[in-house]
Amino acid sequence: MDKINFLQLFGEIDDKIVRQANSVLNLYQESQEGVSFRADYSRRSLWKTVIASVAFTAAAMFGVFVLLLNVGKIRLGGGTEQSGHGGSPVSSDIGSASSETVDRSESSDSREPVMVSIHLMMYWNDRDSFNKLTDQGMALKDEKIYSYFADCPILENCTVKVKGKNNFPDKQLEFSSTGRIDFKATTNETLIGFEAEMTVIDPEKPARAIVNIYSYPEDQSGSSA
Amino acid sequence: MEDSKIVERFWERDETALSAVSEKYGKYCTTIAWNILGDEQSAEECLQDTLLKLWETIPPKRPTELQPFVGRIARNIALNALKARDAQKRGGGEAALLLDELSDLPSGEHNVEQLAEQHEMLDAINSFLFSISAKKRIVLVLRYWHCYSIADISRVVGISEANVSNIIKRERKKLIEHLKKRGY
Repeated sequence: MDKINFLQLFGEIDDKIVRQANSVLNLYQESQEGVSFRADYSRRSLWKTVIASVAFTAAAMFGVFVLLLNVGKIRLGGGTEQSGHGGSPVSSDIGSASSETVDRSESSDSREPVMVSIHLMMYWNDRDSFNKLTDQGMALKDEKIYSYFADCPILENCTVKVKGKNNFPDKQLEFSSTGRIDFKATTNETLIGFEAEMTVIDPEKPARAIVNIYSYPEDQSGSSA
Repeated sequence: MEDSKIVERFWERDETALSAVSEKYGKYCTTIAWNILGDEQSAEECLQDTLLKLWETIPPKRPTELQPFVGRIARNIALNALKARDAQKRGGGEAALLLDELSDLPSGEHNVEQLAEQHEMLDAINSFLFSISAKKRIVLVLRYWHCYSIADISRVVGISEANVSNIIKRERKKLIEHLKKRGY
């Protein structure tokens, strides 16, 4: 048989079969569009953090500069007023301002956004399940507790269970409907991973789920140990 | 725009139907054509030919679902273009690999150009495809209908490339046995 003729004949297979494969392709394409949207979101979050860090550093430097000027003035003034009020209250102010700068800077570093997206889709009649591991994340140096939230915007014909791959979420993350679960996770890995498992409810219908995991970009306490 | 509305425009000989199809299914068609022919320009030409063919086909036809209908036309045009090419020039597309895979097809005296036999053989292929699991069916259809590469199928269905290759190899063998049993 001519192979191209066979391929042409194969092209005439039942529409139901083609439709089923098309639905999987369409789901895949939609999920890919979702990825690019979320990637943009991630970049925006990152840029926000970068801009905030730069602005904060500039403000801190300006603050230090102003303080140094003040110190100079006070020292000069103190020189003139040595016998009067003395310089100790001013010195303690300088000390507190300096330590506050260091604290904020540490806090700013540890608040870099972490974002991972897990996309699952299935259309099997033999009830399969699979895992997808993330390969994104931030570099974490010490074991700490970090605050996250898992957001599930799309959940169709399935339930999804998310587990930490190299971290320890403090609660079970299970979605039977769309929504958001806040959790804390302990890790000291440079890359953070999550594992999601989907269970299809009706194997004859397409199933899909998207789970995004975010850090708290604005959380002050979440990044503390 | 809904498929039924697009088809209605074809029936009204409204040329905006062509842009609507191109917008909704253009990428789908060019992907199939690119998979078969392996170059962007040919895939784009294939899309234009598909639109022309659609214009000629609707009416009299009135497909209820456009996606498989349009995809099938694009696929046939791409395969005809492939036929017209010199065998040595096939190298760019996924079709070259596909055709190699199909070298163990039954080479009986049956001529698939004969419509009656084509229908019988098609029934045999359909019955085989309905008899296997949806997962295996989708992998086979993505390979032999949409002409996707192993790597692309792996990404779309979320299983490893090795797993995809194994499914294709095993199920193709079974399909050939199935056809041979029926005298093809």
